[in-house]
Amino acid sequence: MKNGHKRVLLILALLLVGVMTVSGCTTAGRQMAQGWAGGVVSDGTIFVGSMEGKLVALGVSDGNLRGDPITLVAQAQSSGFGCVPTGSSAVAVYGSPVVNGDLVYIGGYDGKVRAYLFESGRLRAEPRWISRQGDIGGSIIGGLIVADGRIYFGASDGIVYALDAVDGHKLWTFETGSKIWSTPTVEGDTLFIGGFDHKLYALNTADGTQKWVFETEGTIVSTPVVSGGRVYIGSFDRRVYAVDTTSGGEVWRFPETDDEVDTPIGWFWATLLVHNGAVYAPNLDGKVYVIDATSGNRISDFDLEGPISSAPVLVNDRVIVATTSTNRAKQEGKVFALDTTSRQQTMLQDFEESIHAPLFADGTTVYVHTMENFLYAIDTETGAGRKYTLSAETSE
Amino acid sequence: MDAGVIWDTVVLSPMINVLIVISDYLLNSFGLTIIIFTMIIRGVMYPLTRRQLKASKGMQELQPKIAEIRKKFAKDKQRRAKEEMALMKQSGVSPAGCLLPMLIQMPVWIALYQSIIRVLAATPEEFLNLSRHLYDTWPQVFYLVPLESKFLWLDLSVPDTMMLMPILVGGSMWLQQKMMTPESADPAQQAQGRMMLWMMPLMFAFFTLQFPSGLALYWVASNIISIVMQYFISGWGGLSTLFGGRKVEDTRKPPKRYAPIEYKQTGKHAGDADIVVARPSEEEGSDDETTGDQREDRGRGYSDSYESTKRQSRRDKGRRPKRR
Repeated sequence: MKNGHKRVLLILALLLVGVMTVSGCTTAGRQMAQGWAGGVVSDGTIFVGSMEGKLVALGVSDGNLRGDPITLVAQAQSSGFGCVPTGSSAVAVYGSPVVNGDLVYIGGYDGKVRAYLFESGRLRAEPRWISRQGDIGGSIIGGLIVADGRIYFGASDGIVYALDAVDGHKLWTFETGSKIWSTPTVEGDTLFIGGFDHKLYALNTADGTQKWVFETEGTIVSTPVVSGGRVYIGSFDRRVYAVDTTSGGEVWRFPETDDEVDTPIGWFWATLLVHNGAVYAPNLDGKVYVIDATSGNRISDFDLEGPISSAPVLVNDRVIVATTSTNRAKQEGKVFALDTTSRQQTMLQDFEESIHAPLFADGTTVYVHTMENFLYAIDTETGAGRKYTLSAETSE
Repeated sequence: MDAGVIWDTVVLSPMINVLIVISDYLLNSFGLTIIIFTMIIRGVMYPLTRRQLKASKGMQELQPKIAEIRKKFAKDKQRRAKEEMALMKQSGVSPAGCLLPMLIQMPVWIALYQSIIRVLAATPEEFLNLSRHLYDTWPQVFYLVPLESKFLWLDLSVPDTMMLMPILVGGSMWLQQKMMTPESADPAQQAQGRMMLWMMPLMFAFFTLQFPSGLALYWVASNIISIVMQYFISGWGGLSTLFGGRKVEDTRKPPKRYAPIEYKQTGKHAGDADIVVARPSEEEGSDDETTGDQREDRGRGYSDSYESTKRQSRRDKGRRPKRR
């Protein structure tokens, strides 16, 4: 082969590798874990996990920082190539922080739970404790739950963990068949959690033993919701299930079959919401399905024309829900208020930013954390908004 | 509609959905799915691959003559290029024959790569992205995702911790490169051949340390398929020297033999000459209308110009120029 041709072939090969490498580091290919944590409001302070892997505390009234934002740092594996960072890096945060007394807990993509002290209106930079290396073997995507002095959560290693909320010691574990991205729900002495193995588990909170297991036909990442002796769950099989909390038996499924008219065509990713005898089930197909909580029959649906992956919240008989962009190239997000009585929908805000983080509320104010790392406070009564810039440590 | 959306709709989404459905018939094993899917894609692309390999082989076989032309017209670049083109045209070989099929295949390789990456979604962002590619009317794809990422000792969504895949990727790529690398007496070409032989395998072995092992599995499968295809199209090639240091003749087809280059004096200036390529005797009687590739398929070669070459030889008899 001619030298020139060889050179051309070499360049082409390098080009191919270059395209693969570049596409592996950008949104065209592999997407790095960015995180999309929500937050919580406690005693006039907002605690939120930022897109930069920080735990941020802000005053509700003035928007000022309550202590320096704390960067959750992980030691990245050395690679020396491409987009994989070397040395220490910020940890992506998907689960919302939780507050218990004067401690704030947050789970990271590095598989660690950290507890920080919040005292005298300031967040302390030194962690009270960090779960020990090797204690947790997988990334934490779902949120943490604190109940009865314990922290419960599932991890990508397929294990459900219970830690002591005071010192972070592991109390018990329960191994499932696959990854867990779902946030658990605790009701009485039972913990409910779904997994990638298509199963919904009911565990004893005391020792982590299994009470029952219910199997769907798809992956479960949404948080189970318990109401009236039933646990409601959405699945990737494009169905919503109502399961008896005591026996684990199926009460109903929606839709019954794939052949029904206007069946959901996307995954049920976001957490369901139960209110006044109806289940509000957001779907990635852009609709919120309203299902009779007793019979499982469809009541109606709201067509919001944008995928819904963030958990909705209930504010004064209105379901507040956010949609996100329909394609990767366009960043947009809308916040709607769905009236549970009149079945009317109202758009509260229209952003040019995607929304995946769960919404959280304080009184009539709903907080929206966008993928551009802004936190918006929206008054659901007036529609007035306020913007907090989490990365620049200031508010507008 | 932008190019990205067209690419996703026309190429990527169909490939992703087919990939997922195939896994349903292969015991939900994504490892097996990658191997079978790679075989299918390579099978579909076989005519192009074959054309490319044949063109490459043809180019390799012309190298001695091209070297002679270069030596002969070292000081006249224009003439050298003209003579090289004439030689290639006469032999039914063109550089585009090597590059065009490769260029056509590249988007398919990239799509296959991207499909595997998409289906092996590991982060929540990747999962949401994957959901956009799933066909509403194919219910099973919704149930099947995420696919089982365990295969043999591998977790296909993360790099191989046992370090076997980098060795397999590098080793298989080295074998493939070795088959493609012709022996050359030219030290410069030898050096370039050595560089190609080692650089690509080492690079890909290094990439394997960083990328999900599902992608590494695709590279290994693809390399092995290439080796098999290459063997059936052009024999062991450069690998023949590995067999006890003895060159193994490709016995499936008679090797082409070229007579020495003849030059016809046409101009007054030194070095002005036309090259005449003599034909192997067994190639007489070939169809004049067939292309270079078709001729090679029948184990014959270049006979469209054979008669003219004979005529040319007769006319030029006794007028061979002295070499300078």
